[in-house]
Amino acid sequence: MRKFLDAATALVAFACALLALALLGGLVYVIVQKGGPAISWGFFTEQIRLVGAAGGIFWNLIGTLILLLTAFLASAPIAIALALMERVWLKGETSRRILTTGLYAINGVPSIVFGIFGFIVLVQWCGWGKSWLAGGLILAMVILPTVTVALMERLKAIPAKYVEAAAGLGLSRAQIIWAVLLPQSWGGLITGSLLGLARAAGEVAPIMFTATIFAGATMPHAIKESPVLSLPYHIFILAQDSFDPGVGSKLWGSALVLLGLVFSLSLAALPTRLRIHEEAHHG
Amino acid sequence: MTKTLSWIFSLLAVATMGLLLAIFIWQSVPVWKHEGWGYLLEKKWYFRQHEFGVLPMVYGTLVVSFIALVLAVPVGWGAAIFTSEYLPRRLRMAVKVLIELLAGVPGVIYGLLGILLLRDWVYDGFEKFEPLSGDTLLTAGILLAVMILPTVVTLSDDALRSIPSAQRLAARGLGLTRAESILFIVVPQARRGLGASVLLALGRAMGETTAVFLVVGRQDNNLPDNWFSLRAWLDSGQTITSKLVSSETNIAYGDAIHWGAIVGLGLILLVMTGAATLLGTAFTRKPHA
Amino acid sequence: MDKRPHILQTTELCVTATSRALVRDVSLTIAEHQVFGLIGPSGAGKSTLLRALNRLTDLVPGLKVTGDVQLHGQSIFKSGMDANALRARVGMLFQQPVVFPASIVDNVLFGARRLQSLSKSAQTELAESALQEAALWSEVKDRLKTPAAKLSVGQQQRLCLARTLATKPEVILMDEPTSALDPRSTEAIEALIKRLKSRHTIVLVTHNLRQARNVADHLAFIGVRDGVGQLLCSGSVDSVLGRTDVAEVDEYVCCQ
Repeated sequence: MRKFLDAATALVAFACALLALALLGGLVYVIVQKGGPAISWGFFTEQIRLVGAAGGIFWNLIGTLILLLTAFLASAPIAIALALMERVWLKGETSRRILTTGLYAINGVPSIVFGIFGFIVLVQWCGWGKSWLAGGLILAMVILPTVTVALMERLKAIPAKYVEAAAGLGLSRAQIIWAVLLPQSWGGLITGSLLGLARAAGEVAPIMFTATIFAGATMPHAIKESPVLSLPYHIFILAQDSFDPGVGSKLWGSALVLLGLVFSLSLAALPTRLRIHEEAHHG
Repeated sequence: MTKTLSWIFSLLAVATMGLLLAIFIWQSVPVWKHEGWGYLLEKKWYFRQHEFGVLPMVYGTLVVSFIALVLAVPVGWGAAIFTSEYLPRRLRMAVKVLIELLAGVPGVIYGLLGILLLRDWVYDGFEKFEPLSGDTLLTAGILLAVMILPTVVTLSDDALRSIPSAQRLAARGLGLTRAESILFIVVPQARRGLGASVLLALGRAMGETTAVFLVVGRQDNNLPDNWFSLRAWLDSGQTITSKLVSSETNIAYGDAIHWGAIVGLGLILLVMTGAATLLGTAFTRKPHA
Repeated sequence: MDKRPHILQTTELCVTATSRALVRDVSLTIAEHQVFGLIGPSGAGKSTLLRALNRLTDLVPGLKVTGDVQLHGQSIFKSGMDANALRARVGMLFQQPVVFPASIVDNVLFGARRLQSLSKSAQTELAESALQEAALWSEVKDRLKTPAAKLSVGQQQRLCLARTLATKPEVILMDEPTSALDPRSTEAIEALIKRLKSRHTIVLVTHNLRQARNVADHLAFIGVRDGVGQLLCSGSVDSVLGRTDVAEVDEYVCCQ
């Protein structure tokens, strides 16, 4: 009986893990198998024609990259400021805890809520209309907690002796930040940003009311009324009338490109994350 | 200078979040005035008649999240037990990387798979219950289950791993089997973390938008006659998020009451996900001994 | 030579980690109802050797055990040997007390309750006798339901001993059981060890020569030679500690 329970537990746990991995494998397989045939040089360099049934996704890719770059640039200074607050400037245990709890709370806010917030404030109040900048700023809010927490963890991992040594040389706190803390922790900023952007790249809800349209946009030249195309919104719209076989192949191709982009971003974050893990393990 | 900049940027973040909360409360006031408690408790959404009651959408959100948890939590816990208790460290890291990749797959891609595959599977698989289409609450629930599975696995694995190995060794030293040491020593001690994984996954399920929108059917005013009828899961429905992301949001702006009803949905969603997330986060903290 | 029957015997026992040998060629015989001490410098592999005796080494990925260990003349590595049942017969007491987050009485019965089917009254009886045997009964009999974590470290270690005793082991392996304890608790455990040998066989790893002299009947010295832990000499306590011809022993005894 006990031996049976022992074997059964192992078997059930194994089956569960296998199922989780099989889901990933199956998902990637389906997307690659159906999207693969659509991939060609032209798919990346041409613009869409015939409502997605022909042409490529050049401006969708560019639009998504613009949004991601904006989100990165907007979130980085705020994340640095918040992480320094937590590690350096805030004294009390309580205020620090409020800050981290707040970050977890922001992380739990559904992205559609940010999307509607951006629609009210940036699109309507500021009168930007749909704008790449509005989308980038809203995506920055989505990824802010991820970036900040990664940066905080990196800062926490800096050995106290470095800070003490710098303080021993008579450096002020601001000087220690610029000379010791930030140079040592930029890896955390990059890792966190890559992870955050991997999430942001696939989001539809934050940008559909603020930044992106389906067709007819190219490079934005201003802020007001300057929408971009984007990869996830492209898929979102095409998916809703996916019965045209011509559209189908382009649709799966776009999904494959988006999946590739998302996976590349999270895998690029991997080496630094594993190193932090190793250090935590041996330290 | 550095300190001032830190403060300015931090306050900017705090002010933005404060503004967000204030806007969602303030802009939803008209609908609360117009409908009173009926806004929460009634089944009516006819925006041309200015009648707004969100109960079917709250129901939809809760049902799809519940289905997702029922499917994902047992599998997630099982998989976490496997990665944490049976796999050597290196292999465990590799599996965790793969699981986190699964977590990163965008909702719109899940939605696409839902539309082109899962929808038909559900329609065919449950044919004898005569669903009207494959766009059902169940379809959305299954899709969400796959989406939250990595969250459950990753957080549960961390929770199990945080139990000291001395506890396992002591149990094995008494002659207990590996399964017994897991089920009677490790799991009970990790229960707070395992509970947190459920709450945080719930928060994610309730807030997920795109995938649900694509497969849930988006039928307004759908409440089952019997709350415990499983057949009702094979009906189309509407969740809070699927309403928020629909084109009605574009139409509503400018009409204070209609817009209030939309923003009010956002506020309700914020309260629901916020409660799950904060409770889950509190769970992961060690209780003060 | 000891006339009592041998309960444990190792022949050319080696434990290797993935890249290097930890202990090599240990052949020992351990007689029933005695305290068998393992001494030697830290890092020589005494704990590893001890863990091989009830196959706790199985649980460490990458460890390989060759050679043989026999319990009552039966190899513990032979196929069909249930390692879990073996560990109930050859119990273990660790360096740091490891109590489970449960009440005192649940801790005592943790293993026994699952290994044997016991009636309620038999459980109560077993808990009492195990706690008596571990000299903890009088201190905890009024608060058996309180969390075990509330006990002092010394009491916790005796609780762990009671927990092991409740599974009715023939042999108890002890891995420096007093190194985390204060002198008074150490004394209590040492007195216990001497008492326990009337019914059990004890294999004790210790750092402490005073403790070895105080409680052990027989000693084996594990030292490092050529970078590997090896059995350098064994015999009665005085004969081992008096071995001036083995440089490692001489050095170890002098330096303490």
